[in-house]
Amino acid sequence: MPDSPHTIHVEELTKRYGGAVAVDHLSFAVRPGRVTGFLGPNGAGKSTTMRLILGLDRPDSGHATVGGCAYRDLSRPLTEVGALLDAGALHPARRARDHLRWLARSQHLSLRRVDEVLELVGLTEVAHARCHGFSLGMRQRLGLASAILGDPAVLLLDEPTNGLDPEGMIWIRILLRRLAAEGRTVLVSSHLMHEIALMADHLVVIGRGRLIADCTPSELVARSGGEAVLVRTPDTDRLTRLLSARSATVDNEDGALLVSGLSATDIAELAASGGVVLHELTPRAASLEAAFMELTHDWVEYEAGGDQ
Amino acid sequence: MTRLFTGRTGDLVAAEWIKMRSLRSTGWALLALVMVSVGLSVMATSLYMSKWSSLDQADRDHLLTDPVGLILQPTAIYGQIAVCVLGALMIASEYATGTIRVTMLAQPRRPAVLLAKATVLAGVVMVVGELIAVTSFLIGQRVLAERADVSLGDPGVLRAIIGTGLYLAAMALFSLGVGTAIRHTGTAIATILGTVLVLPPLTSLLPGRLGHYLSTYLPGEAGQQLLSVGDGSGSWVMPWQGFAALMLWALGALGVGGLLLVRRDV
Repeated sequence: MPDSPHTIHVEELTKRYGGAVAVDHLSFAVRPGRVTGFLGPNGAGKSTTMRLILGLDRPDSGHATVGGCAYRDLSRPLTEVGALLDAGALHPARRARDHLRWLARSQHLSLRRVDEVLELVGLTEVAHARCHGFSLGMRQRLGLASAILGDPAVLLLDEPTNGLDPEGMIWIRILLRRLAAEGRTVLVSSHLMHEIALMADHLVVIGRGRLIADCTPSELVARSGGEAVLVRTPDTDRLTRLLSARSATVDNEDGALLVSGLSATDIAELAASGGVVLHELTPRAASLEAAFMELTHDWVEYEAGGDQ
Repeated sequence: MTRLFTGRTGDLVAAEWIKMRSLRSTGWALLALVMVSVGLSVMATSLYMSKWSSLDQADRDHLLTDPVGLILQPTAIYGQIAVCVLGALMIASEYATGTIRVTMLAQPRRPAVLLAKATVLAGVVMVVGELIAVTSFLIGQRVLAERADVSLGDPGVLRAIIGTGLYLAAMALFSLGVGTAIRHTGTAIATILGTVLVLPPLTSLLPGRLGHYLSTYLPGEAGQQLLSVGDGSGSWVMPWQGFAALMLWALGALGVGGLLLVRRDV
């Protein structure tokens, strides 16, 4: 794929805090035009990686660039990269509009843009209120307003759905998908797969600071053994033998069989040809989350073993 | 003020100016500065006048040789507390609230951020300091008129009035530097006020000339030489030398703060 000017490149990035390794030789690229989900369990190093990309923390080795440039070398950074790291990063005694006003002024942006983004995130009503009374959801919206203030081509958002109500979550999902559709690079972190699953076109999964997966959601599912199918039959022994003969994996779950390695169609045909009656045949829908859990769970276990 | 700067520097200075203005605490600190400074100046000069008959000769001489010092000292000694708090808060409050990360995202060249803050802080404190100095002088002149004749044209008077703004601005910069290095609001303010208010009397406990020498070069003691009309004869340093020593403290603190700012993670 030809390199776009708005790609985020992370190369061999390593960061230690004291003796603990937060990010460990991490390399990946985030490309424009799609929403990239940045996933990992809590403490996996997602926020640290974002801070390293944004030049807030200095890496011990490796480097990160945005559009080929280190963040520190951008002259009006907010017009090129927008970031939401911590919704609490506001002075509680400052009015919402003043917070955006100084940010806009620092990037030579007009006041009109401030009112535009306030409108866009739905905070016009409270523009002149001081931030100390804001709910977490309102802070997230204001943080998002400052991220998109400079109309940047690259966006990094750390757990932006934190504290949002269901309506807010749908809103942010639609907004991020639209921003990606406009050709922007969007990196969104979360420790919850089901949030990301609804908006991400691509996934970067890390655990203990290391890369676990850099692929599409369907590839992630395939990697963890594909989709499973729940099968109910009065003749479990016979069906299990038939399935095992086709080298499918069969687990018992609550009196039913959880089959992976064969599609629902294959299982139905196999049962029919063997004369086995089926009472239920259900493909498991939440398999992306299951795949994520399995992937990161294995990683954490492996790492814990490695520490001994 | 912000028109003086152009390009990126101008934008940053303007942004810091908006930040400062948009917090009520700035207004309160400056109001406290004005009230304490002018109020105590009026009180001190009035006390001298009402107790004149019971004052001994040394106290009378002190007033007669340095009336401007009496008028402006309260600003230096007590008004500076508000200035030190303002200077330390200007950056330490950003660490306390997390705003510092937003600031560094907007301008990743960290020394430029510190420079913009220093410019706004010094400018504001200088202007308010001059306002206080002129007001205190005009009131003090009338209060003391009965016993001491002091006018703007007298030697050292103009220097002391200009010096008040300079002294406060330098103190603010020193505080900004310490606040940048320490990052924690409470610790920073305690350190600054300790250096300015607590250390000077302690140095007198040191034996011989050592204590006198040390106290002369502490930021407050050194800088306040600028506020009296004396030629520094009671002290080891001349007025402008004293101010130069204070500026060294301020630039030193800003230098250390700036270095740490660049090297540390935010």
